[in-house]
Amino acid sequence: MRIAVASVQVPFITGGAEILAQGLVAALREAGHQIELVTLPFRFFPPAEVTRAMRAWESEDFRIFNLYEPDLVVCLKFPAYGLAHSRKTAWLLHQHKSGHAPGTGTGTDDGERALHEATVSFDRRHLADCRRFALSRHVAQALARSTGLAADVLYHPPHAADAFYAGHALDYVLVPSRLEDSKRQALLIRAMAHVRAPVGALVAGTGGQHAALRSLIGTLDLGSRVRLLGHVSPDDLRALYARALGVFFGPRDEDYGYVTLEAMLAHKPVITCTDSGGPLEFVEDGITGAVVAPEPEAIAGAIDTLWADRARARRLGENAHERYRALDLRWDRVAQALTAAP
Amino acid sequence: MTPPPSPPPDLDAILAVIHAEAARRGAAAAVRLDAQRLDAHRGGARRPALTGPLRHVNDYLALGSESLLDAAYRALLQRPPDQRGLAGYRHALRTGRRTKVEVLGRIRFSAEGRVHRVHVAGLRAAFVLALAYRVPVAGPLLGWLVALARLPLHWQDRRALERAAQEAAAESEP
Repeated sequence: MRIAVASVQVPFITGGAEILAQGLVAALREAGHQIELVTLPFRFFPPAEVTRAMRAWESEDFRIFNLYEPDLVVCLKFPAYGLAHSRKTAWLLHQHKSGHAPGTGTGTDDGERALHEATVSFDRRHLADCRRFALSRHVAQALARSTGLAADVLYHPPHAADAFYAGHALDYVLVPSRLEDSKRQALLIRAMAHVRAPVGALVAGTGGQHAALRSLIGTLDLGSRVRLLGHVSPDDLRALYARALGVFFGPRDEDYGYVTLEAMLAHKPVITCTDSGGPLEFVEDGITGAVVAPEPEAIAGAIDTLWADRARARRLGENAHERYRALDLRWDRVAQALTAAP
Repeated sequence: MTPPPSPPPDLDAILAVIHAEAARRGAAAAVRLDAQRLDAHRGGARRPALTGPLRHVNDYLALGSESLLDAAYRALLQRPPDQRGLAGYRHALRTGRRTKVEVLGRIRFSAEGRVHRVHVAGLRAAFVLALAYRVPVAGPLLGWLVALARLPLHWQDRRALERAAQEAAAESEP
């Protein structure tokens, strides 16, 4: 088949969505299809730019590309599924997240509220025309709550899954992720001030929160216990996973979370939080890791517990790896699901 | 009264271990890729699969011990490894009491493995040879004879590796 994969692009930023798109394109090509990744740039603010993006995608007619017409269009992100085509499949990574989704309690800005209503109306209208898959149960539930539309959950493997390995644990917790407010590395740093065990924290990644996190480490006098590593090479990252006592991944309302799966591949338990979203679909408290309240003392307690009972920490990690294997995450299955006849 | 926190670990020492391990594994991965290029020069008869299903004994032997055990249980016994069996094979590999071929053969040709009858190309011959090496007196003698018989193949490998290295050097030139 000739397949167009439609998504948005935020120039100079490569995150999970871009990695997913690359993996999907490769998997579809491997399955023998002719693929083209088609993107338009996207701006999160001001609200007028989000509205403009919705109109831009609604004006895109993917039934006609000069002489080439795709047999199928796979749409990945808001608002790409606004395009016109007779056979659209949405593999929803997440809906647009504005500041005034119901229940966030984040204020009464009329402009933001109007934008939220407009994006939900857009989703309801255009996703109804699509076969619908969701990145995770978390994303599917959010879609159902906001639009009443159901979607099948379709998991996929993280990049270079075969390259992860397990090793003898050293006395540190790995904290890998982009340094953003939503990833809550600050929460982990505050937790380290309560840790009693001789355990350190290695924070891998770059992002806008670097200066703030460095300042927080200094304020709490944790320079000898917490290290910001910045960018790490893929080989170093896999070694960091392999030799960690455990992995902390406690973001706020995460859609999926490659970090969880990477930790499971490395046979490591994950400490996550009760409001972390996607990771909760893979982390089972006391079985494959720890699920704690997003409070520094609770997180510190989980770290101390891992250190105090290393055999149990190893068992949790092995269970996590077993759980990953049982999920049988494969790109060929993703390609098959997305291209199956309706 | 809450005890004071224990002193933190030496993070510099930990990072040194991490970097050394990453460098070692990165170099090993480069060697495996060189082996792939080498096999391409020799017709690819024994190239281990880097992805996809494991069909040849060399596909398993290219894995680390933990991955080999996990893959062997799932492919040959169609189930996840049980802790007791896994611990026994893991100990045998780590102490050198058994080779990877012997462990793989024992799993495949166990009573349970014979029920599933999963074909692994090259395993039967390799396993028989591995068992034969264990026979007192005759085993070591057999080992010497096999090594002598394989000498021409080693010379061929060396020539192919030299050609591959020359090609790689040529490709890296600006």
